[in-house]
Amino acid sequence: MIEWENKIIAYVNGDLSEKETNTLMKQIKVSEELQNILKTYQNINSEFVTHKSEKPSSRLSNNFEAYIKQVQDCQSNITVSNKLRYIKPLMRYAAILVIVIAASITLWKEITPKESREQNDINAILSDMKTKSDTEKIKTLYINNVTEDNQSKIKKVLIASLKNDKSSNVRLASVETLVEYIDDDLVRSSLIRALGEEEDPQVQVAIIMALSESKNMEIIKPLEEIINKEGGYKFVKDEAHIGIMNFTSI
Amino acid sequence: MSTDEHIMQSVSNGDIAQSASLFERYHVNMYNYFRKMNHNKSLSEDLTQEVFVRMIKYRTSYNNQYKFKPWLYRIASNVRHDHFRDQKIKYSNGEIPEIVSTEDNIVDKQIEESRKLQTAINSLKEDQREILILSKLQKMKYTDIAAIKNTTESNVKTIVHRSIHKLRKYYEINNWL
Repeated sequence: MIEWENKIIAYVNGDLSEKETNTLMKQIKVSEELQNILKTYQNINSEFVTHKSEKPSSRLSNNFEAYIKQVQDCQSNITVSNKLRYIKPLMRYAAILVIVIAASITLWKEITPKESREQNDINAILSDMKTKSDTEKIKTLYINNVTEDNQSKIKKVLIASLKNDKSSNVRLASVETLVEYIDDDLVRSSLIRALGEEEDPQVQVAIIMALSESKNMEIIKPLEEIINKEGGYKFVKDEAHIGIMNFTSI
Repeated sequence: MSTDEHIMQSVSNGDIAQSASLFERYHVNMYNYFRKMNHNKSLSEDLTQEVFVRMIKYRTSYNNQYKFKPWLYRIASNVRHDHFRDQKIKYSNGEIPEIVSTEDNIVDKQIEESRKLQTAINSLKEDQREILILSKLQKMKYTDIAAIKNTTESNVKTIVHRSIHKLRKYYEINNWL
């Protein structure tokens, strides 16, 4: 009987072959018990067939829609992030390039044009001085408002005046002002050169006195040249001699 | 109309919007699968949601050489298994869940029959219950169920037959026949 019941289950479930079905049907026809068993299984099977599915609430669909959107947003962010991953190094290099260019421009403005501007200023002052009287030139050269910024400019104006001005008084005024900067290599070398070229004894004495203030050995040679020079004023040679004496006695 | 496999391949390739079509096709059946397994409406919705979330999450693991439906239900089976493992909830055999009608508790004959069937199904062992639901309510082929449960087609058929036999016994004991 169990074997036939299993065949009925298979039959109701649609798992029997045509041949097996025919055999089962012949057996059921002659057995009331099997007919009842078949009926019960058919009833149970009909429950599955007629069973209605339930619909979930809209919460499920809404949540899933929101999830899809979230994933898509996330995908977009990842895409942007991936792009940025390649763009970021480029931006970094671009930023470095901009900084280098800006620094170069600043440096160019700070250094090259500064020198250029300074030279322009010096030329302007010297050009302006040419139109002035000696007294006015001397007043200009006795500069009081020396600052760190204009010191270099002032020295160059004084050196240029010492070298080029025709007036000995102006050159003298230049020397007297340049004494303040005797420790500056440029000033000292300019005075030494001027001593060799200067013909006015008063200016020569002023230069000797100025160089004597220096403690640099290089002044000895030009002073000796003054002393050994044929001709020339005695008081100039005396001043040179005093200068050497002062230097060697130190 | 595109096949499930074709749509899933698009999803797998990154077209996430396409997953809405698959959700539309399967979410009601999937919900009912869970509904019959755990009798909890809210939980069934959550588990259904989790199935489709995993579908997207593991989209790249989908191989379009295989059918989509068994693949999805395999995810569902794992979701259910994971949930009850995590919650340490296991429905005991013979437990009769409270069946609440969706139509203001109006118990008509159809609802009563549905309640009986559900109660009888619930008397089965968990694996039997799942396979029977997949076969009889989800209308899945033995071969697909075998793929989901990682077993043989003949084993699935045997389990279905035994489960139906058990249902008849349950109906008989309760004089529902």
